[in-house]
Amino acid sequence: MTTMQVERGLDSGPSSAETILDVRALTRVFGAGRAAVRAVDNINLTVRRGELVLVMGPSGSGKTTLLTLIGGLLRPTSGTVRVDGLEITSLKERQLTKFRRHYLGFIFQSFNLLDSLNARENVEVALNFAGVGGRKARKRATALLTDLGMADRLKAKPQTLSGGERQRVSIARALANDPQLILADEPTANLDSRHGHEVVELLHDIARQQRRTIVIVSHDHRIRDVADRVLWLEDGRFHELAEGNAQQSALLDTAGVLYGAAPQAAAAQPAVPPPRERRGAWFPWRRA
Amino acid sequence: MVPIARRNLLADKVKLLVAVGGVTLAIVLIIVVHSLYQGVRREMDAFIRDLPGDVWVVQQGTTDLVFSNSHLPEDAALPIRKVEGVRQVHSLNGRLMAFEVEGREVRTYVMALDFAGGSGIAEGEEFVPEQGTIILDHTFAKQAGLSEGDELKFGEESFTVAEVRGIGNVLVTQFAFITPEAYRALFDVPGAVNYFLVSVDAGVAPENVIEPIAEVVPGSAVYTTDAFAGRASEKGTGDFLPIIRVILVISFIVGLAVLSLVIYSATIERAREYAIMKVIGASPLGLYRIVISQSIFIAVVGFGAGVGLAFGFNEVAGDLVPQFITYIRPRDIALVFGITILMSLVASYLPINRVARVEPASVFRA
Repeated sequence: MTTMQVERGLDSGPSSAETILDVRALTRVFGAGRAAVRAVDNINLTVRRGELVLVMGPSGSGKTTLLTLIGGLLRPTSGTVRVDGLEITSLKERQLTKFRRHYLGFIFQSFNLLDSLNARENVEVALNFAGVGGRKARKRATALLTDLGMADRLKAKPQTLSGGERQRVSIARALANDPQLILADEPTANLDSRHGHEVVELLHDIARQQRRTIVIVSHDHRIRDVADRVLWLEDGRFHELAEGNAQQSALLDTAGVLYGAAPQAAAAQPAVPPPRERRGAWFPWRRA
Repeated sequence: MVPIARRNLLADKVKLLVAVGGVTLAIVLIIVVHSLYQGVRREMDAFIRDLPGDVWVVQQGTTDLVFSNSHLPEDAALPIRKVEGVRQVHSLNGRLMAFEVEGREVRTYVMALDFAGGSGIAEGEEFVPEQGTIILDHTFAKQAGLSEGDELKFGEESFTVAEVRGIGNVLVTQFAFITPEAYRALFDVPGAVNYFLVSVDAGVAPENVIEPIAEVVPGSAVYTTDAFAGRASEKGTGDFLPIIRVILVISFIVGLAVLSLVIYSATIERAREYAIMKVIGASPLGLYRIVISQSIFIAVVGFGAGVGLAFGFNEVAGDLVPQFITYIRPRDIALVFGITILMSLVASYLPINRVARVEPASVFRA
């Protein structure tokens, strides 16, 4: 199998003004000695404002570890992560907490809503943690949920929401503090086809219309259609698709996917790629 | 701000009820036991203060009225009266006595107050009944089933109940008054009295006559009424104070255990949610505040319910068991509130440790 690390030579990447995420030589080793596992192995990655990057790969390839490292939830063994110019690997815990509040939004596979709070409160808490309280927080949470087609479900508890609705609340929460970077871990994995499609479109819209950077870790084929780049992660490293690799082929079977995008190619891309024609405004929740 | 703590608690109402119930029971126990202790103290204190006199003269080593005996020479009244600043002197005698009421034996501490000289109108008339009658404490009367006009027999002597009122009730001992003559006829120890109660002239501080009186009554100890009331209250309640303390500690531990268990299990159950909150930007302090708020919420609701129930319990128990004298002071309520808050803070310690150890990255596990 021919493999090649991608996103090397970051110096030739996009201009720093447009760079939201800059990962350099990022390594995370679990365990020690013979039992040591390099979950993330010397990874470099640059992602620009408004870009939607999909990271694919087999289970245990290090996708989620990469996401937690970018999110400042895990300390790297070596390497650096810069978000909007801020190097987070050297931040103390308290600073990391503040960083997460203001720079990052998280979307999870299992939604991770707080069960005892209703939809609006689930969004409001993120604002509260960032120091926005009272009516202002309530108003913003309501507006976000309304934009996502949840106006009539504001007071519904997570248990009473469908998977798609829960994910929309989760997305609203991720957007609450106006983050530059959104990290999504298998956002469609627990959704049926229709709701999965809705969420994919929604994430695409957020990237395009709001110029937010989104890094998605997923196995979902549908996301390839909206991703600006698809990266293949295996054994903690980015790899190029190898022809004849059944596992990759199973996931990447459509032409036009920018897997293993070479840095030059990435640099050549416009900061915000133009919307693709084939994606119409398919927002079933907005039809009503 | 979204009241996460309250929402979490209200999400599981049964658990909340159990927690509040546990704290309530602990608070009820603490307040009732403490109020019983204060009630006894207060009764003893009030009884001594209600009697006439600013100064008490007792035999050295005497601690109180119930648990020790005091014998002074009767003729010491004269030299006491002559002490400068002394206005009146009363003698007070008393002993525990068993009466027969309709074939039953009932016991009360019978006393007799006698004017032993001095100037002005004799004080303490309310403690001196008519000849052949007796004034009873209402607790004793209720317990013995006696009311005004009833008769008590002691040997060949009989006493008609002239009055029933609150005189003094110290757990198993209630006070009653008969005339000095009747007392002498029953128990007279020639030449001896138990106590002298000394009233001082207006403008004279009771402390100023203590030393002169002690000099003229060899073997005596002289106290201001305040000091003797304090001493007697201390003695009257001091013996069961350690027992009270043990019960209070047990109550505290029970409340603490219930509260800790509930808060801890609630924290464990919601460990993932704490991790989520960490991921979306909650500060550790903010999360600790949620845990502490939950604990305080339960404790305060338990405290409110406990105080209400304790008052109710004291009322009912006082009616059913006349000796059950309780007294709840505002500062005791404040103290119990402080204990409650302490309980809630201690109960938060382990859950907070647990929250601190929650790994935010764990939320990525499906």
